[in-house]
Amino acid sequence: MAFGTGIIRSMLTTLRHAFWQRVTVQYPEQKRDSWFYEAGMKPRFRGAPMLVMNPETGAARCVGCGVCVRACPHGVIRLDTSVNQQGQRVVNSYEVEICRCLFCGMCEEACPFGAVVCSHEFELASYQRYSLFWDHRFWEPGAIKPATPIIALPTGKP
Amino acid sequence: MINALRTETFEINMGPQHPSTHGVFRMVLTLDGETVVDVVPKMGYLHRGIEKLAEENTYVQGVTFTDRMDYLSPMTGNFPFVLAVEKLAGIEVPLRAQYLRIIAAELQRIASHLASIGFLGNDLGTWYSPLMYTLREREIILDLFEMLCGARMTPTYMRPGGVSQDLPEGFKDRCLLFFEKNMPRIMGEVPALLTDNEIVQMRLKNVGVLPAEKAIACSVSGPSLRGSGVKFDIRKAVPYNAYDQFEFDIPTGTKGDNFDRFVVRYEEIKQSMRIVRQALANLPAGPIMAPGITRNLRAPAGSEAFARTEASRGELSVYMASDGGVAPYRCKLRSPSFINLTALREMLLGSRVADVVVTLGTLDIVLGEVDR
Amino acid sequence: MEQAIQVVRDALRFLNDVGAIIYLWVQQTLLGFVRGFLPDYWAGSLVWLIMQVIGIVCVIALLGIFAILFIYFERRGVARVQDRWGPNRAGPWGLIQGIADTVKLITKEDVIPVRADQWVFRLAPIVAMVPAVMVFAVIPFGYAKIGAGTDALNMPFILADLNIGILYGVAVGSLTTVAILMAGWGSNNKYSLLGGLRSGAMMISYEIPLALALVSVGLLAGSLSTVDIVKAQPFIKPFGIDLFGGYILLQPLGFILFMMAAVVELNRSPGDFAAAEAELVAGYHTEYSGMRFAAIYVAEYFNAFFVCCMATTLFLGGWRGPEILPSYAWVLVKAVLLFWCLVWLLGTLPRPRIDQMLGFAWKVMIPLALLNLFGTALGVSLWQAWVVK
Repeated sequence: MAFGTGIIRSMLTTLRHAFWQRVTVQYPEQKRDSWFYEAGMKPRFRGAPMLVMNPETGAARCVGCGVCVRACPHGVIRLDTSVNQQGQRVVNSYEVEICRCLFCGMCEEACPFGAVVCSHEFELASYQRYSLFWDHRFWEPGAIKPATPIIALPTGKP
Repeated sequence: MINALRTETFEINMGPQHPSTHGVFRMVLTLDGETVVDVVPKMGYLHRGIEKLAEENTYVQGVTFTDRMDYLSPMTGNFPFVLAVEKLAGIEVPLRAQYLRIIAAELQRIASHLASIGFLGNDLGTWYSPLMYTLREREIILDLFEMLCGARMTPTYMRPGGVSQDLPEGFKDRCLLFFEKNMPRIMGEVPALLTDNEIVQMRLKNVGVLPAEKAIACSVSGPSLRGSGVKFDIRKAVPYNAYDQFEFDIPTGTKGDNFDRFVVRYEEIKQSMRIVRQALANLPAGPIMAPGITRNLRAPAGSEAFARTEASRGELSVYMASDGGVAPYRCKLRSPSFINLTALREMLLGSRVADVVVTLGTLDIVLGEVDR
Repeated sequence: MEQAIQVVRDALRFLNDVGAIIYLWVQQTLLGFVRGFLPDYWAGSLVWLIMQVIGIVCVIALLGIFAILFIYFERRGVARVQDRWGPNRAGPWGLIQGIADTVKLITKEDVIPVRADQWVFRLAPIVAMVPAVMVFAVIPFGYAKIGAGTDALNMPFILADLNIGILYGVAVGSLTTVAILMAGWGSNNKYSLLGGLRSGAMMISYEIPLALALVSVGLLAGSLSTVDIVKAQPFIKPFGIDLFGGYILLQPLGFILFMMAAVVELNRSPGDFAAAEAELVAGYHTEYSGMRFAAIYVAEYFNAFFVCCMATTLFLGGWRGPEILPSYAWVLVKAVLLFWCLVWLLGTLPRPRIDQMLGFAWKVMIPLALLNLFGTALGVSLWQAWVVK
């Protein structure tokens, strides 16, 4: 009967699917890896912006030039600098409003010193609004996740 | 005998919160029993002021807003904006960047049509099954985008003067593997589950008919226009950005009913795969960004430009005018979904309540684009 | 070896009969106790009443467990068809999900629209639930044969072996239509009214092929009692053991018509016009929340269980099957198998438009059902004329 063949074909298709393995990634036990999707984050993934630590000095590479502040489409970065006794510019606070950040990466592209990168941090949910204003979160170069949650920038060092 | 009964029409609000209006979209339907007598679409629930924001941000920052207009196909949303900026400032884009843009846009078109086909299954009443199958392949395309530029939904990949990043290692192989291994499965399942299913054909055929003259009169574009039989595709009619170097067909329908629009989208996936294969095979070497482009790009004062592109849903065009500053003086975004919605009333008069949802599904609107 | 098989067979037979033995023991004890202070006739009636109440409680407990299990099974089954896991976080393998949902629904606020028709709105869930439970009086859940020889006691596990069994089932089952119309009207909501009226039209149209398919089975069996129908079904019997059979062999068209009509009667996809989510948000149960919604929702699964059990009784042979499982297990296994088919249909097929569905009912299914009935009647009379003589 020509009428029912399409319906029977669709029912057999779904029946085939019923015997396959499921495709879902069981978060939080699995993150981005299942038999179907490639494991791990891609290297270029744009997560939350963080400051990069200079491995020799142990301080942030950021010098407080402010190019990233102007490059951000929404004005999400807030930078507060001052001049210390030696006449060097010192960063007092570098605050990123994660709740309004677009994760577009313009700050990363704009920075001339490679001090701001979009890290791989994407688990940003929180219960309090004030914890979505990040202050100086460091990212070790080459790491997948940031080293420490909040660190005060030692003043007086470039 | 029916006409001798005095009946009354009643108005029903297919309101902003509805599982099937593809976003926050409101329609005031006037129904006579189950037949639709009048449709008044009311939009604006997702208006975010993108055109105003674009006037206050530089050209490069403005690209981020175009990602969020049509959130189901952001790469094609980036396209006309950067083309308009380049026309405005007189920038020549390197050929490699043009090819990369085409690869991104066509992959995005495949992803968008897969999502559209899947969501049409939802509107028809299959409880998410075809959607799960098409989204499985769309996930791989989004993974490819993540490999390419770092984000799945808001890539901000195309920039004025070129693209932001080059193809990474393994992208070409991954993409071709995807076409060999994964796409044939879904391209075989969509006919089995939807196109050849008699119930789907009963629901979609001869419903929501939009004749060709009406379609042209309402400025409908994209697969909705091609479903009505008009063979018009901006990539072939007004070629932009090296599309004239590629070989592809334009699928058209015949009657302009829901079924034709649905099949046109399915066939366009195949044509997009053709284009991506050709682009990957013939990718020229060279720079990916025109020289001398800074973040504070300025265009000559008093210039204006209009860029037309074929986005996943139709003709997406940008009109830009500059007054010499770092931000455009005016940026007008002509979105296809908004204009296609004006033809909704024509298509729906005389059909039933169940057809309203299905016709809206085949018209394939995205509210981010409609309301901007 | 022979002894081992005999031991296993005796154990299975005991598993099958244990319920009946307990029932008889309780009955005799009560009878002895009650005869002490009541004359004979009254004693018998009182004991009968008490045993019926115990039976009703058992059936309702079974129903409760199976409804929750069916809800869980449907969600996992549909998820399996869609390449995903279903609920698997609440409890081991997600088994507590049904209980979690019930607790949530009980603790929800009971919202009643101010201008809703108060009595109609409040009574609709009850009118949905009560017939859904009442119909289970005529389903035989098993069979036991106590004793041997001519004075053996034949005990079907059925609450009321009415000799108009399937007529009772169809009649009481069609009261769900009233409940949906009440819910649609009482909600004071245009969407609900649309959903209720659509569903009312659909359900009364699809009652006819349902009933006609059942009448054909009744013709074949010569009786409307469910127990007689199961006993009269033809079975393929190698070595005297019931292997496979039932009226599905003689009435394939009737079975298909019954299942299609049942899918629409149950308001399940592809026939779920009453609550077609894509079009009417939630149709007739938009305005219900909390326990009222739970009552309507669970009543739908009671009806689904009933339809599956009815189909196994009438077409698949009820409790009959090889002795490796006790008789009540066979009924449940076959019912679950049919429910899987319903779940599979839900995950696959789109919904036709309401006028297309109504046209299909009146123009295709009723003529086919009438043809089926006519053919069955012809076959039965020819069989009786030529074979039985």
